[in-house]
Amino acid sequence: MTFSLPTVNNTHENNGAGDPLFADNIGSPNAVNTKEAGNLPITKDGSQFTITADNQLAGVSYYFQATPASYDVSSSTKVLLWHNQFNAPNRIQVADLANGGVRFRLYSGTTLFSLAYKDWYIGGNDSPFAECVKGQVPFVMDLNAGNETSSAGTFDNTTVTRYGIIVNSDFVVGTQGNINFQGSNFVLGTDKGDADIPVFTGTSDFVQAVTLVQGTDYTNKIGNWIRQTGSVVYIDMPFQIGDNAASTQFNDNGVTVVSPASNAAADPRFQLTDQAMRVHLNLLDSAADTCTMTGTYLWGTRAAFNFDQSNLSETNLAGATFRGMGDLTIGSSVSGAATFDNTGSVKLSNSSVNINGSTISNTFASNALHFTGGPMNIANMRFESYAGKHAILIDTVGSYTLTDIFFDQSGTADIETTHTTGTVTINLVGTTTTPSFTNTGGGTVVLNFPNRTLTLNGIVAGSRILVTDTTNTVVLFNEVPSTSPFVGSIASAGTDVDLSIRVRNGAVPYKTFDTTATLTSAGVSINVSQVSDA
Amino acid sequence: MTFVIPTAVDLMTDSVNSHPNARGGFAGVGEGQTSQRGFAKAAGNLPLTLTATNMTSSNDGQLRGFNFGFPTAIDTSTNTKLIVWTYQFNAPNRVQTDTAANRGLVFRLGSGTGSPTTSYRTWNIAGNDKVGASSRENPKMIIVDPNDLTYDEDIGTYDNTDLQTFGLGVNNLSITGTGSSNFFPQRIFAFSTVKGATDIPRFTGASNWGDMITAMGTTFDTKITDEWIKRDGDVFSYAAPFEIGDNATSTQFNDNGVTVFWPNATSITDADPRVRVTSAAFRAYLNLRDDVADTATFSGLYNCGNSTPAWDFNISNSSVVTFSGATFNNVGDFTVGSSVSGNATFDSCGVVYNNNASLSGSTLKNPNASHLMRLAA
Repeated sequence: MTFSLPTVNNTHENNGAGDPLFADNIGSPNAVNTKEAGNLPITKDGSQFTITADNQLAGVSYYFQATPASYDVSSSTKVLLWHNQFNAPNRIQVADLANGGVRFRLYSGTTLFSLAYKDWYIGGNDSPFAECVKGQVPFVMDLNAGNETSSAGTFDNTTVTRYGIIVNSDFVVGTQGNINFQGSNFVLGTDKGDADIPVFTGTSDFVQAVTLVQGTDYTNKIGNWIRQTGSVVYIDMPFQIGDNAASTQFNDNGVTVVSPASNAAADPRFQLTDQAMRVHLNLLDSAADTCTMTGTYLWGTRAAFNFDQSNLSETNLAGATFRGMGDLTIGSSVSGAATFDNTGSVKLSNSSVNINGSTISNTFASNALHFTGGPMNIANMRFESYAGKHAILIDTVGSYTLTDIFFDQSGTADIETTHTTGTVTINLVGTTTTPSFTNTGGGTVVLNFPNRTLTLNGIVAGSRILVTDTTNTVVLFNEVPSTSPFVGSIASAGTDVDLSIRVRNGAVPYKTFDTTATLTSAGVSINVSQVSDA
Repeated sequence: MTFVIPTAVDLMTDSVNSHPNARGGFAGVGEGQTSQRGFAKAAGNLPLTLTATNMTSSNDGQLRGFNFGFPTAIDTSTNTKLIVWTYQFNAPNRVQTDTAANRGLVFRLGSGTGSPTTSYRTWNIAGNDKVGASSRENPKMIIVDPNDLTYDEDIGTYDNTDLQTFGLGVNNLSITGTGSSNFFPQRIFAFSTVKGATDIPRFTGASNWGDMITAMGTTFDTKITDEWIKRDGDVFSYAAPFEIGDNATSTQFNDNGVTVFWPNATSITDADPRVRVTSAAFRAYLNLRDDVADTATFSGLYNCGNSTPAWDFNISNSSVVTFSGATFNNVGDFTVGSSVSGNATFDSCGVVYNNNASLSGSTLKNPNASHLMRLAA
């Protein structure tokens, strides 16, 4: 029963001189010291700086942990979770957002006075950071974030070394003087298996994450990066379910989970790349390791969900909804009918994946579903609203069976094949909508359409039937059925055909019954009415 | 483009001593009235440019509070009202409240005459072990339905036909920082939960949920709350009833596919017992004119939490209400009229009373009632 965060990067309980990771002032703060009970938990002091002049730009900067001396985030990013607060509740001494009331700075390089840095404007008196004083305000900075407001030098993301907070004072309400308290912060990994990525293990759920951050009383509340309102949990960090070591039984219990958007105009406290808010499964190769997701996941960035797990663990997505994130890669340990709305591509990485019954709509990617695990079968899935895109991408030769699949045919082509050699065979079974295709790879594509059904009801015993495909001039049936109704299965090329149907019985005798019909994908049923010719 | 928040019943900008509706300090067993009643806290209200009524509790082990009168008595016997209030503490680096069980921070409603009244109910809404007072993240909301039965104290004969006072009190506990609790009640609302009422929050004109954010104010000198109306990207949290249209103003509402959710009803056993409501508190209504120009379009995701309020979209006139893939979770009974059409998902709702709405393509599942839908005769 655990949700774990890595060790705090800096508690920010000490003043500048007393903190070995303090780097330097930015500008000229009038005082750099500590605020009693200015941290979270509130029993801890907070590092503090003060500005006593109006329209003054000042702040402080700190090194990340001494070891490692710098972060290389060129291949996989890290995020800094931090919070700051202002004193006091009845004053605002911060400029507006456009004038950079609150700014975050990130430095690269190991030289103390390096000029390589980026600044982001993340708050002001007209944004949630500083429109009123509300305790420790959380913010999250991706060490690879773009959208910086300004920069200096050549920022090198292989040696990210220090960070800073800057305030532009503007004395608007209350006692003059701006006092900023810095609380503790974390640096989190974002990749699967990272030692510093938040992890659920044991019998766990999202409420445990809320409790770890919000605490159970004033002595153990550490921040606001995870919050709960009713059945909605806001989680401003990446996470992993399982650590491939501890037995894990995770259940979201149907809550709604919200991940923040990046660089929102009205509230730019989150500066994120699409790597920042990734989610990973990392369960043991054991049937005892389980993950149950029935909730709704609303993601503000195109972070990938890595459910690429194909071992004995069991993850069930039945009833879950995923909206807004990037690609979701799904392995054979994952099953269940889910809804994927406005996500990246759903990538089935193993031919045994069974998410039959799922609906994929409004795909953000060029294709809604991608068989990255090679040939496989799917059933009862719906593809909706993929204008200008494709429902399915096939890039590997082999045989695929699509049973009772619905395409709303909103895309440029329902299925795209990209293999360059060999043959892709696609078997369309049951009520599958006849899809449109585009073959952009040039390989061979064989389509096997489902047989269509002819039913002849009320045939007098001993009668002979003659059914002819008049579209293609082919005799389909010429026989005396042993029972009535007669049900015939007719191979199809995916198009409707016209039928001529004759039923005769000269022994009794009956007049010849002649009729025509069109055989569609829905089949055709004829009531044979034979009239006595005695 | 309008979302109207009804007028506050009290801005709470005066000191206790000069407050025109002061109705006496807390006077129960082990209680006392707040001290330092002669001044208002500069910039202690929202917007921050307003002063706030200042109250102080500095005696450990004694609940200190004060009561104030509604402009007119409230009768909630037929239809409830929803009290929406915010408060904050001074200062950010101190916690001086006892636990919720020990009445760290309480809300009180009194009925009948007297200053203070002798009949009242008290809800323990926060403490140093609850979100509402475990750190100083001001302001914080209080959402109380006067008919809620999870109250923590019932003194005298509480009469919900004659609710006259509201109050706030703190049981001080010197823990961290200076040894007293200064707390500021801010503006307070009493919203109606009835269709067509003047004091229910309402959308009119060409409107959407983003208009709520505009209505609550976006700068330090206009913002009146950021607690019971919140926005995070395309996700809105809201803690009040609402109505779309007023049967008088041309209205074209579109939710633009956002997610809107309401908080759970809670009690003192929950981690955050500031929301104490019945199923009537978060009701919603359509009140569009009999005019094809009046429209409402729903494609978003709605989750009413565990209080399962009834939603009344029972409108059968020329207005056009379109469900376009909307999802409604945890609504109570949901009544739709013939002006409503389209497909939606009703998940974990009460009965969908269908008065000739065309809901083809809709999904109804996991009912909280004995059946999913009831068709009109």
